[in-house]
Amino acid sequence: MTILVTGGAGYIGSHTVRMLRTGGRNVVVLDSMEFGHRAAIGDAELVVGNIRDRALVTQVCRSHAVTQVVHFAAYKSVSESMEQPDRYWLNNVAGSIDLVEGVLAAGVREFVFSSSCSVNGTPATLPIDEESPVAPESVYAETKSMVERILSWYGVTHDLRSVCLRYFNAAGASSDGTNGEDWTHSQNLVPLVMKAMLGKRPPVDVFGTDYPTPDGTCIRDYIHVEDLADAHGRSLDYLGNGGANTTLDLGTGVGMSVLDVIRVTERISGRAVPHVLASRRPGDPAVSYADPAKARTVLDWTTTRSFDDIIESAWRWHSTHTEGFVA
Amino acid sequence: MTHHLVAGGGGFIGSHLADLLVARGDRVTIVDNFSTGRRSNIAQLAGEDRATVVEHDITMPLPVSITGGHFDTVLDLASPASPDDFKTMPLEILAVGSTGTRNLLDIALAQRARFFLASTSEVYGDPLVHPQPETYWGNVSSIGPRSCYDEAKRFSEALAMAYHRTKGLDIRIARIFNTYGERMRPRDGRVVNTFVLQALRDEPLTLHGDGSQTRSFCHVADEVVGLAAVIDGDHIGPINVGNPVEFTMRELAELVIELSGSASTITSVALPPEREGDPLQRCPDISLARSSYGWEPTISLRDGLARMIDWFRTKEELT
Repeated sequence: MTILVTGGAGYIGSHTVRMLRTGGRNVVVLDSMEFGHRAAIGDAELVVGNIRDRALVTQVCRSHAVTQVVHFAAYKSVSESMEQPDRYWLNNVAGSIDLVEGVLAAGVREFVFSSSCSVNGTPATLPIDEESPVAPESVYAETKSMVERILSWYGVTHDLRSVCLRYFNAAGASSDGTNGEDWTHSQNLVPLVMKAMLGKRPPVDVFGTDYPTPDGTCIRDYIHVEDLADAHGRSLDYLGNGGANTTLDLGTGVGMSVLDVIRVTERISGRAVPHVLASRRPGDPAVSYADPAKARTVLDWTTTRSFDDIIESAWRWHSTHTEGFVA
Repeated sequence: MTHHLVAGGGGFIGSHLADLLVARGDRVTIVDNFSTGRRSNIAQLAGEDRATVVEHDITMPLPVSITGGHFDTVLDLASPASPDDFKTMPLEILAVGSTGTRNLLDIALAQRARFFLASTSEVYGDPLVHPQPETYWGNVSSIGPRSCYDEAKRFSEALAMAYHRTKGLDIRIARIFNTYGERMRPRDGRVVNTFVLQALRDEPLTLHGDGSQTRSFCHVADEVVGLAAVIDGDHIGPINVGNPVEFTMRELAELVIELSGSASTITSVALPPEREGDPLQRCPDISLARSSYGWEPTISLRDGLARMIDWFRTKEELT
């Protein structure tokens, strides 16, 4: 009984690997190490390889008696996906097909997929739930949506059972301060804020101050990476208990504005966050937050970490790992 | 707490670097004679207890307020650096690149501080190699109108290396390529600010020649993150810090007009005699900064120009 975690040396993947192992589960990580960090997963078993290598995937599943898969491996830059779509179609979509074929060949039928709330595009109504229309606005989001559909069809053709987890804005670091986001090109707000405070990035751009929100800046649903990791463990239990295909939105249900993020960070760090007020960026919805009711019911899961916990853990991580894992 | 002596901290790049260092929790003492630096550039640091300003010309013997300080680093960003300055202050430029740099090296040596030299892509002159890696020796006129700056910086580099080799001084050298952004002086003969000023006044934008010369421009907020990486890092250098994305002067002019919503037109003028020797093309090879420090520019020319135009519109006297 082993869980195969693809992309397990990445940000959300590594937090999930740690939590699964802490919970006493056997894990084998498959990661290309293009962006992953060995140090993020401690002494977990790591196979360096690509999900596109079906034979490797099957062999790893057989040799480790893999029964379940959590699939994180993907490229995740929205802007890059618009400039180099071929890399996203191949890695995210074709790669997922190769992975599924590879695990099916070893008899694995339970699959958790790392999806994204971006499949909903600009929401017409709030909060966003699993019934909200799917309308991707980037190649990246489209790859996530396509893989959701592909997994659903594998349920029809191969009895694969899958849980698609649509993350809202993952943020924060491990509570023990030893694992966090180390991704040079991260465009996520929380690491940008942290790096700007440390002089590792230019001042943060606040894109748009005239949105129809209380302070004029965009509102997002930030969820602690450890709460996300917890939901993956529960999704595996759900599948292990015979649960059927499902899609779940993972958020807190509460939105925070860009200026909220900056204010809370300044309060917690005791420092000013260098930032620049800029004009809107095309394609950014004004407000996005989840209705996490379905995940609560299906997984018996709820977020337990506050927004302060997110910022405190992120600041602890970034201020002690200014060069990421190499420091 | 790390304490930096920032020579030229009242200047365009120096003031942004001082901001970054203060924001990250360090202490700075700025020394500037405000010949081309401006007090308004550091007005935001007034009342900041981790920032001190000393008005002084570093080519003169340094005052006790500096020699008596305790610095972890001595950062040399003091020099006039615009084409108009080459015309009006060549002797000052040669003095600050020689005597000024030497005074700062002596301070660093006395205090066992790390010395950082803000050098320049001008050390490559009119390069015959594109893009320019740090290993390229340059193609420089020692007698042309730009030689006061090019040769001063080459001399500064030589001086810093000599202190390193003979006295074991801990040094870092960065070569800064064309940088633009907020706090540039509107009228110093550089191309980006000249275009922005002309566009905001609805005057014709003046291209030298047909405008097919290319330049690469780095926004100052990106630039100082790269400089900080060099200052903190393990490599002596020199390390190129600039943006490798090239634009022609005509493309730049068109972008400035678009972003400022200006009614300006574009006109071509002959290259003025004092601009003789302007390189046709210059572009950094930033492989070293990228592989050593993971540094690369993050702000597109479009985003950076929009910010700068907004700054000029609201903060500068344009008439």
